[in-house]
Amino acid sequence: MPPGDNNQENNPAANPSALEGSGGPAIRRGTQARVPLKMAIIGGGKACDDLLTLLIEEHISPLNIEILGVSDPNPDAPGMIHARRLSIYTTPDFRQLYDLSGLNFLIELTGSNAVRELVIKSKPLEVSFMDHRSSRLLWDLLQINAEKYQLQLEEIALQEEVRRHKEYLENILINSSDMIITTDLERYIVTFNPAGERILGYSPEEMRGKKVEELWINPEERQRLLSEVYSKGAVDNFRTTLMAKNGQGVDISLSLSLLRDNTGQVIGTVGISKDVTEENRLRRQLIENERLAAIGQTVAGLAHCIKNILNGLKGGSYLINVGLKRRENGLVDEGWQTVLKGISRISRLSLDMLNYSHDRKPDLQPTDPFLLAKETTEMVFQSAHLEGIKIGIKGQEGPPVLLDPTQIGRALLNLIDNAIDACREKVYLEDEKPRVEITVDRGDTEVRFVVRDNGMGMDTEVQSQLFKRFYSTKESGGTGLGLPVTQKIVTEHQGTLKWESIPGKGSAFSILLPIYLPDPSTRKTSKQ
Amino acid sequence: MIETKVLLVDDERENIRYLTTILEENGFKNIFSAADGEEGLKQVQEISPGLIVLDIRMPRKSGILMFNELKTLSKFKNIPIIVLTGEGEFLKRLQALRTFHDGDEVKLDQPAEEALAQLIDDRPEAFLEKPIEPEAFMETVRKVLTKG
Repeated sequence: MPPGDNNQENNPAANPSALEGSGGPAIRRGTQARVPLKMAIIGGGKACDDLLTLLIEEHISPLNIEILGVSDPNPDAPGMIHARRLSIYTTPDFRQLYDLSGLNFLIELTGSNAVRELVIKSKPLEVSFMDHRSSRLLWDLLQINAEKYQLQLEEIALQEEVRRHKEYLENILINSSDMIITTDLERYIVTFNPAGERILGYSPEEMRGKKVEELWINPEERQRLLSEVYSKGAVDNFRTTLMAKNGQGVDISLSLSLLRDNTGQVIGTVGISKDVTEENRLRRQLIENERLAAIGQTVAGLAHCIKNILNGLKGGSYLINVGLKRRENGLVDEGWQTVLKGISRISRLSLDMLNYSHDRKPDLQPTDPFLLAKETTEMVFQSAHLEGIKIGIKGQEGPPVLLDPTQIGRALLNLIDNAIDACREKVYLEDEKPRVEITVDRGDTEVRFVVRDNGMGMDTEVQSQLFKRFYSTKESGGTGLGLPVTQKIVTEHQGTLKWESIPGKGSAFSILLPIYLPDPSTRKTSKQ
Repeated sequence: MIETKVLLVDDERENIRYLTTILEENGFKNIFSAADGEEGLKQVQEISPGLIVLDIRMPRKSGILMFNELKTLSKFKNIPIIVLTGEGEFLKRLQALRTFHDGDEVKLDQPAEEALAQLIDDRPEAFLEKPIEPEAFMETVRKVLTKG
């Protein structure tokens, strides 16, 4: 409070001088301020209407002005209507105003000199008078005041909006269920939101003075990520693990971007992290469930296969029994052959299963592919011939390439067996004879083995199931693992397995292997 | 009973041998065989068997087709048929279908099963699951032949 003023400054009741809520300086007044102005308005036009509005507004009321009446010959002038609305006395004759109790001030707003003179002549002596000229001055001063006030109101509203907006943004940080961390240019943590507390267990105070990479299990990882962020501006959904206060790892999915100020200058980073521990756990669970289901399926397929083989063994042993009983050697022989077949099928099954389940690195040996194919073909030649199936081989001997002869031999054998079986299943018409042909082809970069047959071929349904484990169309039940095993072997050699088939006409399966030449000088290989 | 002409339809020679031997051991003398549905139908025309034992392993459908044809040919409709199946699951499913099939709509997944449903409609006398035990086989055969 400025010194030397009247006591009224300290008495709010006597001097309701402060603008409400403005926080600005109080209006300074002299003793006259205590005298109430009881005024009447002559002329109820627009000016009167405006004046009423201005004076009745709250902030003017501390000025201690009371309006006793308004006069105008026209009762529907805007000021007259306004006055009536405010329950202020109105009259068509301004002289009536003189009788108003306590009247000490008259203001004339008609703008008419004639009225002015009339009023000056007729008014009571003790009543002060302001004509339209001087009231204009009053008006302007009031306007300036009103404008100032308006500006202050706007300023307050703006500040309020800014505050609310700031609060809103803060609430975003506070209420976000994702962890939000900002850092400065030296990688110190600047903000650490409540979600961060919840997820990592640290309080914001504990984070003060800490560099953000202290939270990372692998600080170098963050360095690398940061350089990526600098070059791209932001990185989304980066998965990593952070260290919680209790030492446990927390899997997160992090979106990290550069934090800039209003001028575009980089001032740090902002990282939003989602806790994906649960999500990861569910995902692992899903994979595990699928794995178990696959195992279950495999076991079921296996059981089915074994049951098939068992069938044959039962039949064979029964025949042996009856044959021995009847002393029929033919029957014993037949039964025994069946049992032998069953035995070989079991051994093939276990071999196939071992092959399939092992992730084996090929044991590369220098091998002539043509000779290998020839050898494999010779294994089945006899038995196929007995059934009337012709087996042929085309190709030439050549320099060796590196491959695993046991594995590739097995792959070829599987294909040839399939081809022979396909021929068995088909009903051949007069002029067509069952035939399986193996071709060994050698290019610059690849060796090609083709096993072609004119057997029953495969329709689309069979083709779609080809590599399904334990899927077999063979009546006597192949293991159903032949093709999967072949595929595996070929893949381990970085080769390709292809096939084509026409139902009723035949199929052709090809194994393509990239050529690895044995280096004659050292044991090292070089890909051609 | 043991004079009955029995027709075995199965493409596996060993299986035919097996079933034949079982029947022989139990006194049956007139045993015939066919390796597929076509041949089977021909044999039926020729010998008019009193019992047919039919293998219908999937995916080969000729066994089923033969069966369906037999059941629509008025002459041979009433020959009792024992159906052999290797798939235990299928057997259970078929038997389940059989119980529910009276009047009910049964929805089937695979096209092969539609053919099987037809099978159910026409009702074979019996189902046998592989591997076949000699005693079980003979019991079924006797049961079927006594009913007829």
